[in-house]
Amino acid sequence: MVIAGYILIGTGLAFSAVGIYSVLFYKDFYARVVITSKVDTMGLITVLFGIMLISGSWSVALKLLLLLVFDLLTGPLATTGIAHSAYKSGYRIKREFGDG
Amino acid sequence: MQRILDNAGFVLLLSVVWVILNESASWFIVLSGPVIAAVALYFTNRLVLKGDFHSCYRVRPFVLMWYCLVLLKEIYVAGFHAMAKIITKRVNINIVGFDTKLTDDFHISLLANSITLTPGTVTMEKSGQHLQVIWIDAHTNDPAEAGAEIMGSFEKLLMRSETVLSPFDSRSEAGE
Repeated sequence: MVIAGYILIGTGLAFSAVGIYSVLFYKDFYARVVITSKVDTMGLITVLFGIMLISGSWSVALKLLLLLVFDLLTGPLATTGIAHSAYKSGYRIKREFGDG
Repeated sequence: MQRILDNAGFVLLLSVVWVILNESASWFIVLSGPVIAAVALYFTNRLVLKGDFHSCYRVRPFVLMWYCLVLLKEIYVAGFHAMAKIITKRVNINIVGFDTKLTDDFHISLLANSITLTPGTVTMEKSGQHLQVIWIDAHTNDPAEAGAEIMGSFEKLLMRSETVLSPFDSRSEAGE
């Protein structure tokens, strides 16, 4: 169980690393918003599941689950708010790699 | 009495949260949970919602549980797809708009949140039944096709919840 937990934490950190790489690599604002928030969502979920497995305690695992639920409820609102304000402020999509 | 029964599910849910936060299932904590939940719901109804909590957040519990599992699966499936696109630099980002068949405002908000949580898409604007979404893999500009692909199984699941709970009572406000 503990080994599976560490594997999940490692995988979650790898997802987050891809998100950070994207922030540095992509120049378009919208691409950055979409890519980083999503990959980080996957990263956080995977890391929290890993910690739940390692904790070995129901109370800690349930608290982490609660934390995850609150994050999943509020995270998208922040992302939507940022993207919405950018659009209203006049930011438009930049083509970075031709047709993709 | 009917109002108490209507809110029983929420009181139970909040009591479980109370027990989890206290990390204890002693008699005192278990019995104080429903009291604190009822007080919290009362003040939320009176001061925040100016209405009834139950009628604002109508969703079938079993549909919601199934929905969470589907959402988790979709987050991972779409996440791996999005990561492949990012790493191979094959992103084709665009803003697409489409309409949902859902009419209940709470269900539309749930759908918009789920779209944002799914890797590769972010809901940018919600206006009545119309959603505007930033899409990382925009291979079509057709609203119907894009909508079907982005909403996936989320819309169908929420429709099941909506048709049972509020067949005639739509809380959706067009142009909101």
